Amino acid sequence: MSCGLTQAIEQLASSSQTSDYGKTGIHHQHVATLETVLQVAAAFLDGGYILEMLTCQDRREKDERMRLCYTFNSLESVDRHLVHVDLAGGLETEEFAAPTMSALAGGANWQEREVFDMYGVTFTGHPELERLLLPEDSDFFPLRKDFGRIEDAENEENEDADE
Amino acid sequence: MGKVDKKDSKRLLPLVNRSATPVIDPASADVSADPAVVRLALLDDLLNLGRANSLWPLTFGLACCAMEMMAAGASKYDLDRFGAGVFRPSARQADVMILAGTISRKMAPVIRQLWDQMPGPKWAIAMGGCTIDGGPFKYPNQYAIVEGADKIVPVDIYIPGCPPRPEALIAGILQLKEKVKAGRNFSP
Repeated sequence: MSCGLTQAIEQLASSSQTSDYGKTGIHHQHVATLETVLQVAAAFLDGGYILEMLTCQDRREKDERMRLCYTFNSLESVDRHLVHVDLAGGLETEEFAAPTMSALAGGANWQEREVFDMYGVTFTGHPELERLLLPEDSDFFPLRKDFGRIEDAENEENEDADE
Repeated sequence: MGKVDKKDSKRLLPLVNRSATPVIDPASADVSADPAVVRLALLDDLLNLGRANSLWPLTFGLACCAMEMMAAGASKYDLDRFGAGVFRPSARQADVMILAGTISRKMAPVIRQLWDQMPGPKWAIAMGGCTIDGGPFKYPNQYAIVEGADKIVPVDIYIPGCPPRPEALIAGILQLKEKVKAGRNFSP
């Protein structure tokens, strides 16, 4: 990682720290906000990095937030950066929104669609934000923690049987 | 083509002779149960015999069961021996749909459309646990798959297994042939 890029990221990110690659699989970990995430991404992409992965974590129950996880990596030397972006909202919050990265990195297009598909995070400015894997008429977000738990369904079945 | 040498022709001669003489003398034997003897048949029976011995499956795989289906169609198991090896790439030319693999909800309307495009009479084979009832992917509140092919198309033959071996598919096709010969046909 070049010196200029390191400085740029440290200036933009809310916090930056190195991580134990042997344990976590990433070299550096950063926290960005909705306002700075595009600038952070642009800095990485200009520095020769690629958007390796975008995924999401549903932490609404414990931490009152939905967390986007961007991973950037370099093809020249393995140097993986994880960027967290937190979207505030508890269990009762249904709508989450983040700016799209698809104009900067083409590969973000489908990854954002997948996150929308599974977690219901809307990416504002996305050219084609539709269901990617699930049927177009789905009205649920299956990877949210409160979606269709097996225990709930079994309890319902038991209640029906009791009646 | 190689030359037939003396040794070979000796071996072949009895076979040639045998095929020249009828196995059963139609004048004396009771021929009603023997399909080798041509008898006066209802036209439907005759048509069903033809249909049963030239099943044309649709080239169409959904998941891992399709691998076994391909193996059944390839040289080792050779589905052609039973007249069912002509996999057609167009639904318009096929009369058997072998549903080989997990049916995802997103795929379901496509399968139904293919089924509707197939001209009747037509038959469906549900191959493997997924197409029978959802198989290993069936659990409460699952959202991704269709639990059983019979929710989309009328199924004639169910072949259990995960996946079934090619022999099992062949056994299923032989069963379907019996069904076709008997005139069973659920589809329009």
